[in-house]
Amino acid sequence: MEEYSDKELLEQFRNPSSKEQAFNLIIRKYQKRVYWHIRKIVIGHDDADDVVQNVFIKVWKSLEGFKEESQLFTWLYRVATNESLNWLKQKKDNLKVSFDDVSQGLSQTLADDHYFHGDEIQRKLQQAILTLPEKQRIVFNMKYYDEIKYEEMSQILETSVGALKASYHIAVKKIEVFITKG
Amino acid sequence: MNELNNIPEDSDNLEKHAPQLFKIEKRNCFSVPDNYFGNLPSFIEQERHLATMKANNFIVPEHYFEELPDIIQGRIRSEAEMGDVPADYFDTLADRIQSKIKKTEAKEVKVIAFKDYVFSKYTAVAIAATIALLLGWNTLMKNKDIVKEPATLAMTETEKTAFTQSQEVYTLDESALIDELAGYENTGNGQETVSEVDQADIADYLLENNVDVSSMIKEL
Repeated sequence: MEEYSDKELLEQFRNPSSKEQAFNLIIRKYQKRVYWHIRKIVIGHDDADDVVQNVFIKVWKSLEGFKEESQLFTWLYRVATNESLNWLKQKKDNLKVSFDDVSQGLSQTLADDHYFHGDEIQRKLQQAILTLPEKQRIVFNMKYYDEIKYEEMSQILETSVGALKASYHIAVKKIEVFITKG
Repeated sequence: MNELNNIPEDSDNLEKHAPQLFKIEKRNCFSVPDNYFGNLPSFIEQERHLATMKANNFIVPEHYFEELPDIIQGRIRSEAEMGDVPADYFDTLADRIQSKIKKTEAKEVKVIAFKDYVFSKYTAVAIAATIALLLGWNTLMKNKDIVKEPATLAMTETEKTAFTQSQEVYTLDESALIDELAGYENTGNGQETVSEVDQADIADYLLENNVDVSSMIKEL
């Protein structure tokens, strides 16, 4: 399948006759990256599936207003991050639990997840990551797994590069301690 | 921020800053169901359709919501004005009521006791009618022997009518007389009506004036 550039996809999306087809191509182009970003935040596949669908429905509703001041990919990541954080907040509000309780819940989800195939050390690494505060966890995942540059991450999370560097460094130190102690 | 100042230049060097983490193979241990990404676009498309259907399909007239606040505020003002009283309404209310009372008193008609009213005005008529009937009856009785039934056949039409009317008198009894008096209604100016009078008042009158209605009827 021919892969269109973001610029071409956006032009097609703004044309009513090709809008739906362009949207389908945008999903196909970015679905995996968006999904994995969400999955590492909400952990369970079913939850990630709900969130990723909500993300693309929001994209459908608001993409016409996208001003191309940033890359489409960056904008999609921001929508996905916000939607994932909202999902976590709703979970906390609905269960009336604290952050620690949500982290424990996510650890349990990880333990029960049929779609996790890591060994003991991989599972331990994931548990270490789940002890991090939400935004620190997102920064760690984006840097460690997705290898996104700080400058790009700065646009997605609307946070300064310095703060992101510090956040990542602290996250790494915490994880190292968790693994070493364990 | 101390945290920012303490970040080493080579903070990305995991081998140096997090050797245990560095040893762990960096790989994605999560997986997805078979053909998940193949089906995801169509799932999202279905969800998008559902979301569209869930949207409100009712419409409102053009500029409805722009005009609605003014309409509501206008109605609130209108209702508030309806609930208001004119300026100085309560200040002058007492004076206006007193003035009206004075005017009403000036116009008030003379109150006449019902008994006096009914029997002064109508008793004379009733008594006159009764006397006329008695006189008529006496005349009739005096000519009793003369005026036989067959004579009736010889009466003129005028006489027959007069006779029939006089015959109806016999059907009146005491209660009918009282009822007739009591049933009289003066509807001309809305004043008190005879029907509102207790029959006991009429009976009182008859007793006070020593009117022996029974003997009067017997005489009839």
